[in-house]
Amino acid sequence: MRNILLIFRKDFLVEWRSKQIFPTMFVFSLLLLLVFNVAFEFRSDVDSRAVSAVIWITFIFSGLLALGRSFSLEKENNAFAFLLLTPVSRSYIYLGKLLSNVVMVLLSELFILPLFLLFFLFDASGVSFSLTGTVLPFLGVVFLGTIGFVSLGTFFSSMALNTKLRDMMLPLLVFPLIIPVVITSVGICSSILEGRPPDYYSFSLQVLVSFDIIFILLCSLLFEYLIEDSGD
Amino acid sequence: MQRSAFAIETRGLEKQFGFFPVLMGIDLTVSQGGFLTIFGPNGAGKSTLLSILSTFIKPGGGEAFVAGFDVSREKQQIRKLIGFISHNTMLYENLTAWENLEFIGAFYDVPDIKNRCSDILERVELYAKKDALVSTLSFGTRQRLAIARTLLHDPQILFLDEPYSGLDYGGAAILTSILGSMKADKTVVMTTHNVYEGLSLCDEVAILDQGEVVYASAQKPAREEFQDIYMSCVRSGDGQ
Repeated sequence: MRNILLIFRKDFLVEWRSKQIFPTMFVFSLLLLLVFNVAFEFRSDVDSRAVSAVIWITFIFSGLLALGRSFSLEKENNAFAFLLLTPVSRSYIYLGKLLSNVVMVLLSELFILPLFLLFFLFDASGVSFSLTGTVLPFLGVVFLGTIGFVSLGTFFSSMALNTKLRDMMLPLLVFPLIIPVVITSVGICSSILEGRPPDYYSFSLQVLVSFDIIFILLCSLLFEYLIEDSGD
Repeated sequence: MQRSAFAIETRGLEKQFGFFPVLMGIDLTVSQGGFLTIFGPNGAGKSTLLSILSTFIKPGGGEAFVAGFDVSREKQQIRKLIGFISHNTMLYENLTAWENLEFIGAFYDVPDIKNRCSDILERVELYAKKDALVSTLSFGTRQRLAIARTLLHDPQILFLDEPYSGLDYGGAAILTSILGSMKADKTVVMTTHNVYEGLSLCDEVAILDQGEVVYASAQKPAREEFQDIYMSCVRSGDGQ
């Protein structure tokens, strides 16, 4: 755990000083929301399924920006190669990078969510807001869905690190595999916004948690094989 | 499988990238406390050899042992014992000199890390710049910091890949002084183009060309003699 936190702390320190990932994510998300808002003709009472899809597309597109940049910063000066030379387990390196990416993406999402409410749900008649019925479950799904796509994104961004077309490779590798997470997250968010009781989406929630666990376990186990020969 | 009695041993070591063979049956040994300098033209396979020995990349064939551990199967044990200095500093630009040392030192469980960082920074004459971001340091200063970081956990075996590349006179003198002071108790393998620097510290020499050891000697030859040997052995055409 100590090694995971060391990598997390280092990543945050580097981001705090370089300010490359977070502002880019925020501005990109804001622009995407604006584009969607224009596409929906400035209506703030859009169907809950469409709104959920919009928010997850925004999160995933801006999240991929962060994930691509996360390993690019490691590649500068080949600092990642020296990290691989230390006796720290490759799984811990993956989990450390995952933790810093999840926190970074979640922070950006927390800044974006109020704008999303303003743009799309301000006048929505079919949506009822309550702290326990809507807000907390919604934030919980955002948390779980983010872990799902960031766990795969972190894994594949390290793979794309050594390819010449890494900025193009990352979405090509990640998008097909995160489809189950996206469908499940959109479905649950939609149900929450429609005011459905937790029983209605509890199975989907279990599926989402299962995806998270499987992705994290598989990725941390396979990470060593993925980065083999990457120090060259 | 017979383990090695040497600090470093390779037996028929091979590596290829795609269809391009880089190392073709390398047999080398370095005794405990020995200092081997490997000379060779660009593309001879020197860096690839060090990358395999330091567990960066896996061998394509043959065997390699470092401190008796197999580089293919016992990587973690090897990583605890080795240090690696390259012409690429491999430092985090947005961390300070001190933070770079502390971050890497923590993975080796260096005892009393703060005192150790202070000592090692003083040794490379960088203590005054401990709070400077790496991005603000000159290349020579970064290289000295990279040397400090490598020595932080007091490795038994050092791999030096063109360590004098880009170093100014002061930096080169510091590196030579550190390597000279460590000769008694550390095993060192260094690759270089520089005959003067390469021969000044070593006990043994080898020449690598087109992925093969074309010359190896447990005795250090005289510089003039070695230059003749080098020119006659190297077929690649960019020998010095």
